[in-house]
Amino acid sequence: MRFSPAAGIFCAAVYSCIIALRQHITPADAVFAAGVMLLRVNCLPQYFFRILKLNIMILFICATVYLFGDDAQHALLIFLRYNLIVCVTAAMFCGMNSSDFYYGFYTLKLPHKFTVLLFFVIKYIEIIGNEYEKMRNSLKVRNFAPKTDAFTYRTLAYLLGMLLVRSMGRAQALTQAMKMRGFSGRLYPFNFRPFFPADAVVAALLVFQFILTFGGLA
Amino acid sequence: MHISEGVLSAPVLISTGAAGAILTVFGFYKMQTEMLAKTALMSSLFFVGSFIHIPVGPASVHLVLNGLVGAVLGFCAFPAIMVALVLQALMFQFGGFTTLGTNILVMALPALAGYWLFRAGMKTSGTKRWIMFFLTGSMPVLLSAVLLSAVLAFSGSRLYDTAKAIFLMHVPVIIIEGVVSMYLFNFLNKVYPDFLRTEYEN
Repeated sequence: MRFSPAAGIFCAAVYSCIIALRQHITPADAVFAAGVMLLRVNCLPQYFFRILKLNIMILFICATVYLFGDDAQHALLIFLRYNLIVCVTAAMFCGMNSSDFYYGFYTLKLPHKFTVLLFFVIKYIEIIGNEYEKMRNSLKVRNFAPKTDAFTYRTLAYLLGMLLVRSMGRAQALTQAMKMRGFSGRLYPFNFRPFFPADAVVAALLVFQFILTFGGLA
Repeated sequence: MHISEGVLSAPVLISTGAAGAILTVFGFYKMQTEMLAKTALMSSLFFVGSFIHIPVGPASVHLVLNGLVGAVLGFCAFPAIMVALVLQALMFQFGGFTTLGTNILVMALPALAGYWLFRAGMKTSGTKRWIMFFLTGSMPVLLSAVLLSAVLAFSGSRLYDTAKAIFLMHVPVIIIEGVVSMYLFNFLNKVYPDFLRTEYEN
C-alpha cells in the first residue's frame, strides 16, 4: 500500500514527537510502527536493510551509555525510541522521491518561502549530482586514486570549487528562465500527489496510538 | 554530525528545537528573492557534501561544509541548512523530525563564525589569508562538534562519555575540512570572486 507524502510526513512527525518524549517504552507504543510496516510490507527488503545500516551509529551510542554511563535501561530506552521512529520513517517514505516531499509540504500548507526553497534545492541537487558524477568520472579516467595527502585534498577542493562554479551557472540559467515565465517568489503547482486509502488507515492508526499512549490504556 | 532520534532528553529537545526554529524563521525573513538561487545552491551542496568521502588513513570522513555555507550566505545559512536537513531526514533517515531544531542549531549557528572569519580573511593577504581560510572551514566544524557534545552532555550524566567520544571522532573532520576549505576558498577567490561577494544580505 502507498501513502500520500503529506499524510506520511504529518503522521511520521506526530509519531516521532510522541515517542521521542516518552520516558518508558511499552509494547503498546509500537502499535503504529508495526501497523505502518505491515502496510508497507511490499517494500520490506528495502527498508529493512536501511534500518540495519542506520543501527550501527545508535548501537555505538547505546554501547557507550551501557559501558561508560553504566545504565543499561537508558541504553535500551535510546535504542527502542530510535528504532520505533526509524522503522516508521523508513517504511513510510520508502519509494518516495524528493519531488514527492515538495508536494507533501505544499499540501500541508507550509510557508511559501520554505516550499519554494525546497523546490529549488531539489532541482539543484539533481544538477550538482550530475556535475559531480561527471567530474568524478573524469578524475577516474585520469587514474586519480584518493590518498591521505595534500594532493588529494587539493584536488577534491578544486573539484568542489569547479562544482560550485559550473552549478552556479546552470542554477542562474534556471532562475532566469523561471523569472522570464513570471516567477516572483511563489510557485503554483498544477500536479498534486493524490490521497490513498492507506492514508485513512494510517490516520486511524495514529489516533489509536494516541489513545493508547495518552489515554492510560497502555 | 546529525543527532539521531531518541537520544536527547525532552528539555534539551524542546529548548534547542525552539532556538533552532526561531533562528531559522529569522533566516527566512532575511532571505530576499535575489538570494534564493544562491541559498538553494549552497543548500544542495551541503546535501551533496555528505556523500563526498575523503580518505583519512584507513578510514574516510565526509565533509560538513557548514563553514562554506556560512561564508557565502551569512544568516541565510539557517534556511539553507534546514532544507538540506529536512531532505536528509526524509530520504535517508539521518537526523529526524524531533531533532531537526537541534541539528539546525548545531550546524547552522557555527556557520555564522564561518561568515565572520571569511570576511576577516578577505581583508588580509599572504599566509594570514591562508590561515583565515583554514579557520573558516575548520572553526565552524569545531564549534559544531562542541555544540553536539554539549547537547548530549546536557541530556544526562550517562551521556558524558558518549559526548566525549563523539567529539574525538570529529577531530579528523575538523582538520580535513580546514585544509579543503583553504584550497577551496583560494580557488573560488581566483576563479569566481563574484560568488563570494555578499551584496544582497547582512
